[in-house]
Order: sequence, then C-alpha cells, then structure tokens
Amino acid sequence: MLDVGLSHYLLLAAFVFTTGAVGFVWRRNAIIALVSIELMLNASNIALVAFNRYNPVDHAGQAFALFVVAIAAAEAAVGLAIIVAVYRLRRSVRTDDVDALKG
Amino acid sequence: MVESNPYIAWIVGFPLLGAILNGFLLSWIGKLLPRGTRANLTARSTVGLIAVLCVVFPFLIALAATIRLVGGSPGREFIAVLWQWLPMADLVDRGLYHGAGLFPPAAADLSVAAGFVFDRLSAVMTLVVTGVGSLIHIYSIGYMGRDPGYRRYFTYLNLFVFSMLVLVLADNMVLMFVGWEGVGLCSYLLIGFWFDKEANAAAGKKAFVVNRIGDLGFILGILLLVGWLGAVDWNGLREAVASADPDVLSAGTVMGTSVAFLACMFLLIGAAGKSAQIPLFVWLPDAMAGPTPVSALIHAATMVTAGVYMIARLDFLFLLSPTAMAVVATVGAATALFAATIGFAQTDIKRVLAYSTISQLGYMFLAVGVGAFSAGIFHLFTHAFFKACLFLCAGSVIHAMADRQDIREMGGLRRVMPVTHWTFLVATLAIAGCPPLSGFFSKDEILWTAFSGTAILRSGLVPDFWPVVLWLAGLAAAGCTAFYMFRVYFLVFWGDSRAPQEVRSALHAPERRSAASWLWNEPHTPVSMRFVLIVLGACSAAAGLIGMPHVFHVPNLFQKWLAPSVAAFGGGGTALEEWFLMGVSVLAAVLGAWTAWTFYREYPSRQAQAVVGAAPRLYRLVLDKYRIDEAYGWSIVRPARSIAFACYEIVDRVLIDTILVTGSAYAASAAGAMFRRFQSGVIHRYAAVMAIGLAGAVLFVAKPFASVPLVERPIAFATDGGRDPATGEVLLRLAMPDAPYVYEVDAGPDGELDVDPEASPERGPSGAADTIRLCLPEGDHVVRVTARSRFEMSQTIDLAVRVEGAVPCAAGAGESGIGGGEGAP
Repeated sequence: MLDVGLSHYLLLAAFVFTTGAVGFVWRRNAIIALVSIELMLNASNIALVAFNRYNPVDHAGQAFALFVVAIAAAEAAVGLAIIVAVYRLRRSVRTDDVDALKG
Repeated sequence: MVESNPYIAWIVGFPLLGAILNGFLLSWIGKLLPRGTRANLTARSTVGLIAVLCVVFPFLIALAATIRLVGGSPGREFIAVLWQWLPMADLVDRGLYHGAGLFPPAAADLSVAAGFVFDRLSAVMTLVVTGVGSLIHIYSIGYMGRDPGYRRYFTYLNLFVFSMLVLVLADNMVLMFVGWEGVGLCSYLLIGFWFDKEANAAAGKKAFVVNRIGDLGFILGILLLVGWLGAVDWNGLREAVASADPDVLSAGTVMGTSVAFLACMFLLIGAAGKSAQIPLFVWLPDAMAGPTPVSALIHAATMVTAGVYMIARLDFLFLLSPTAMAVVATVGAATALFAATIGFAQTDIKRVLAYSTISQLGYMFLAVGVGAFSAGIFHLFTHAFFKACLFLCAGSVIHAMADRQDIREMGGLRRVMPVTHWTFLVATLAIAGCPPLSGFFSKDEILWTAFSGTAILRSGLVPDFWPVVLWLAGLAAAGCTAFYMFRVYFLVFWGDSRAPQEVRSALHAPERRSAASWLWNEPHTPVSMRFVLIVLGACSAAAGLIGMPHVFHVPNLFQKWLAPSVAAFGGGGTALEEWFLMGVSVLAAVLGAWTAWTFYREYPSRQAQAVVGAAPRLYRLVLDKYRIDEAYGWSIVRPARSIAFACYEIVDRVLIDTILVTGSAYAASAAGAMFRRFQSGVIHRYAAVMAIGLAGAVLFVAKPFASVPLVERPIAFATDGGRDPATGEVLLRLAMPDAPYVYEVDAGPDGELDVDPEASPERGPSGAADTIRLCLPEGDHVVRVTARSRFEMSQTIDLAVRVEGAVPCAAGAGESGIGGGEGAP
C-alpha cells in the first residue's frame, strides 16, 4: 500500500504547474492562458499547504496559500477584463492576434 | 580727499538706461499700448532723443563734478561704490579660498567692488567720452537718418558709451576689464553694423580676435598684480607700491625676469591690442567698415585711447620698470612713424584717417613711455577733438559723394561744402601741428619730453642717445602726418571734381544769401551734422590753449590739473632747446604740407607721378601697407587655420562625428535590431523566455549551495530511557520533532540492524516521545540510532548504553525485540 507523503504532494504540484506552464506557452486562446495561470498558482498552493503539513510551526504555508488565492482571484478578474476588452477591439481572444507592440 | 558721491554712478547709469530703453524696453512697453502710441515709442525722433539725452546728461553730471573738483583740494576725488562684487573674505570664510601660498596674504582681504572713482584723470576722460560722444550722437541723427537699423545703431552706441564709462570710471582693474571687454564687444557690433556685406562682418571679426589677444595679456597682467601686490584697485596698488621697500619690489622675479617688467609687458600687450599699436594694429584700418560716426567715436576719440589711459592710471607701476617704459616708448615711436608712412599711399579717405589714428596713438604711447603721462593724456584730449572732427568731415564728404570713399574720385569740394571744408582744414592744421592750434601744443610737448626724458635711460636696455632717436622718429612722423593729411585735404577739396557724372551733377554749391552763409549753408549736410562739425572744429582750434608749454610763460593748466593724479615728468632741458625743437617740428610740418601742396594741388600731377615712377616697388609696398596683413596671414593665420582644419578633420569629423555620434547611433541600432526579434508580439514566446529566465535565476540562486554538505543538527533525538524492570530490556526514548521518521538501530555497531526498520512503524510528528525496546547482553554497548525521513534525509546518533547484571530477556527471546517480535527467526 502506498504511503502518501510529502513527495507525493510535491510531485502533484509539479505536475499541475508543468501543465499550467506548458498550457500557457502552447495554447493560443487567452481564456486557456488564464486558466493555465490559475493552474500554476494552484500548483504552488498545493506545494505550500503540503510543506505546511510537515512543518506547521507558524503555518506560514497556509497563510501564503491564502494570499495566493486572493491574488489569483484579482488576477482572474483583471485578466478576464483585459480579455473582454481585447475581444471588443479585435473580435478575437487569440493571443497571437494581440501583437501591437511587436518590434 | 575721498568723498562718496552717488551721482557719479549716474554718469554710467544713463547710457545703460538709454541702451535698455531703445534696445528692448520701449518696444516691449509699446506692445501693451494702443497702436498709435506704440509707433511713437520706437519712432526715429524718440530713439534719437533718448540716445542723445542719455549721453548729454552724463556730460552735464561730469561737468558739475569737474567744477566741484576745481574748487576742492588737489587730491579730491568722488567715489560711488555700488556693491562689493568679489569679496575674497567670503571665500575665506566658506573655506573656498585656495590662494594661500599662491597669492600674498593681502590677497585674502581683497575685495573687488563695483565702484567708480571720479578723480582728475577720469574727469578728463569722462568729459572727452561724454562730450565728444554727445556731439557724435547728435551728428549720427543726421548721418544715420535714413538707415533701416537706426534703433539698433543707437542702442549699440549707448551701450558703447556705457562700457567706455565703466572702463574710465572703474576704481579697480577687474571692473575696468569689464568695460574693456564691453567696448570691444560694441566695437565688434558696430564695425559689422552693416553685416549683410561679408567684408564688414569679417572686419568686425578681425577686430574682435586681435583684441582678444590683447585682452589675454590684460588678464595675465591683472593676475600677476594680484599675485604680486595683492590688490587690484588703484589706491590699493598705489599703496602697495608706495609702502613696499623699493629694493624688495625690484627684487621680485619670475623665472629670472623682474615681476614689475613682466606685469607691465602683459599690460602693454593689452594696451597695444586696444590702442592698435605694433604689432596688434592691423584691426584698426579694417574697422573703418563701420559707420563713420562710429569710426570717429570708437576708433579715434575714445576706445582706442583706453590703452594710453590704462598706462597713465598705472603710472606708478610702469615707473617701477624703466625697461618696460623704454619698450612702451619705442613701440609708440615706431608705431607713430610706421603708420604715418602707410598713410602716404592710401586712397580710402577713412583708411588714411585710420592710419593717422594709429600714428597719433603711437605719439601717446611715446609720451607715457618716456614718463610724460600728462603729455600723453593731453594729446589724447586734443586728438579726440581734431580726429573726431576729421572723421565727421569725412563722413559728411562720403554722404555728399553718395557713399564713395576713394579720394581719387573726389576733388573740388571746397566750393560745394564750405562748412566741411573749413572745419576739415582747421582739424588738418591742428593734427599737422600748426601753431597755435591744439595739435601743435600737445604734439610739441610729446616731442620735447621724448627728447629730454630720462626715465627710460635708467633701464640699461637702450643706449644714451635713444631719446634723440625717439625724438627723430616722432619728428619724422610729424612731417609725414602733415604730408598725408594735406594730401587728403588737397585731393578732396581742391582741384576739379573727378567724381562720376551722376554724383557730380547732384552736387551743388550753397546760395550766397548773406556774408555768413559760407560758414553755415551747406545743402548736402543736415543741420545736426553741420552744428557738430563747427563745434568740433572750434574745439580742435582752441583745446590746446589749456596746455601751453612753460616757455610761453603761461601756466600749463592741463598739466597742473593732472598733477595730483599722474606722476610728474622727470627730465628736462633748457628753454633754448625747447624753442629750437619747437621750431624744427613746425618746420617739419610746413615741409610736409608744402610737399603735399606740390604733389596734390592737381591730380594726377607730374611731380607725384615722377616720385612714384622713381621707386615703383617701394610705392607698391607702401600701397600694400607693407604687406603686414599678408605676413600675419602666412605666419600666424595660416598655421592656425591648418591646426584648426586638422582638429576639424581628426577630432571633429573622425572622433566626434564618426566614432562617437554615428558610432553610438549605430551601436544602438544594432542592439535594437538584435533585441527586436524578442519583441515578437507572441505572448507565448514571452512566457517561454520568462520561464527560461526564471529557471536560470533559480539555478543561479541554487547552484552555490549544491555542493555544500548538509550539516546535521545535533539534536539528541534518542536518549537512554532506562530499563524495563520486568524484562530488563533497554528502552530508547525517541523524540525527533516535526516530521515522520523511521529509525534504524544498530547495537555494536556491526552494520547489522538490530531492529528491523520495516517492522518499526513510522513515528509521527506528534512530538510525543516514543520508545524502542532493545534486548542487549550484559556489558557496555554503543548503540547507533539513525532516523531516516522519506526525503532521504537522515541523522545518526551514537548512544553509550551500559547493561548491568543478568538480562532476563536474553534467556527467553533470543537477542532483542521491538514492539512485536523483531529479530525472531
């Protein structure tokens, strides 16, 4: 039987983070990009609470996880607003259509 | 006796006010006013009135002050200190004074004031500057009447008078230098007044550049005086010289040269630049490109005499160095003769007058050089009148000739322009030294002092007969002066008109309505110009009467007046000698005039042609002004231009333009071309780059710690927990905090585990002590306990355990056991 320890949590976190990172780099849909960012943030949350489980001295991991959740919420709000604005302007949410700052 | 009198500052203030009003203030105010009023404020009549009044008022103030000086004691002077301008004490207080060791202690107390002093010497200069200045301003109203740059002209002219008065009234050398630069600037602006002609602009530039060379000498002279005497104001310098031991003063040397001599030489360079002496005279003839009243005021009467004035101011300093005096006198005599001979062949009326000015300035230098400061200033005084008169007559002639200046095209003007003719004749007689006109007295005094002066003989630089040489040069120059001035006079006013038909037909003689009409009527000259000519002509005739020589048995008022201000002349001779010299110089003048009469009564004359034909190459050389300009061009201007060109090509074009400017732009654009690729606009690429960068950053941060061995915390996580009373087993108390561990126990240690870790359950991070039971035989043991976490982290501790007496567990259960039956077969 598998003992679920810290390393399992960390592996899960790494997997989710990688999924998010790759998704962010690979996919062209801005909504997906936003979702990928959420994945990466939540992966870091998993890692934080997992560490907290094994080193609960001052519960810093939990506290940080809460901050990350708050920031993720704000980020999602801003990101979605940007996406909506971009869509109104360009009729598209594909990220490669938004390249006005191209050098 | 020094008295404070703030009105003195107004002498300087009025011309500045005039320049400000005409320069910009009235036109600014005009913009705020209704249209009609605006035009009035900048109308020609307003501009002219303001400009003239702003010179006439200072003249009246100066006149009043002079009258008060006459009434006072000889040493009386008025001062007006506006503010402390450069107080060294402030620098000392603030720790910014770095002159200790470089300058004498007195320099630390130095305070340069913006202050003016009106003593007997500056009174003469101020009266000349404002008096002749007023007349020339009035003349300019007529002369410049139709010029589009009328307002600009009067602004510059007022600014010039302001600068000149600062120069003259300054009570220290630094403020004098401000005026010195100011007049240089105004001279530049006015020479190039008609700058749309390139030659005029070039003449202004030449004057400015040559003057800069002199100014450098002046600055060095000031600094040397600060370093030597620790003062810059006249009184301070005079006291420093007077109070010091003469032997100490003359012992001061710089690189083997006497400091006094060196300072005087630097100042002489400054004076020679401003006063157009050899070798810096080349700018003055070209300066004739400016309007004629400017030539009269700046380049004849006032500014060019600044050098003479400066030397007279510093008479006590120059007297310290007889060698310097000898140099000054020799430069003056050489310039007087040299410039006079150039005047022989010039055909431009203003250029003849310019060389004449250089020559007369040479006389003044000769006078101050032999120690006759009063005579030098006296000649400055009379010269201001007759030379201004000559220039203004020339201006009136040029006006009538429709801006022609070549005397070969003139002739016969005496019937057409009677006023100009008579005033020109009076001024010509004066400059030629005809008794009893002003030039006779002043020039004769200079020749006499040059002959009899002894100051320069103390130098040892010049032989004993040198005064005679100086006198002969002066005498020859006097003859030359009479010749070239009468040459101009005859060519312009006598003979038949040689003007082109269209000019000649426009000329017409005044109607003779009354007996006095020849003195006043002149159709070609506006009334303002005629008035000025007559006043200046009268002054040229009469100004000399205040400085008659002692042999006439009348008091020399001028010398007496200046006696408190400048050093007395040292030297002298018998009355018989003086009468003799006077006769000789009059004879020289008559000879010069007679030669001119012979050659130039008619033009072209047979006699003149014969002389020119006898030595055509010499004539050509004189006509070309001895090719001094060409020589300077070859020896100085060309090398300087080559260096400038090389600097331009190498430093400017290659280093700055190519490497620094173009190169940096190219580097920036190349870097831009490279980094532009990253700016693809594809957000994923940005993210990828960011991820790579982040990975790099993590690596960068983590790498330094990769090779550091994990330091074990020495936690006593296992302790000897005593013996089980029942079985005799050893109890190990385990208290590893926080995380789950498995424990390996090796008693011996022999490498074989005595407690199977698989059988040992993972102990939680409860913090509560846990116990491992171990059955050991009697004796001393070392038990190695290793706590191993799931992250491959482990800690090891060795415990010393002593087992005493028989151990019950050993009999029953083999070796040992933890929890349930570890180590069972």
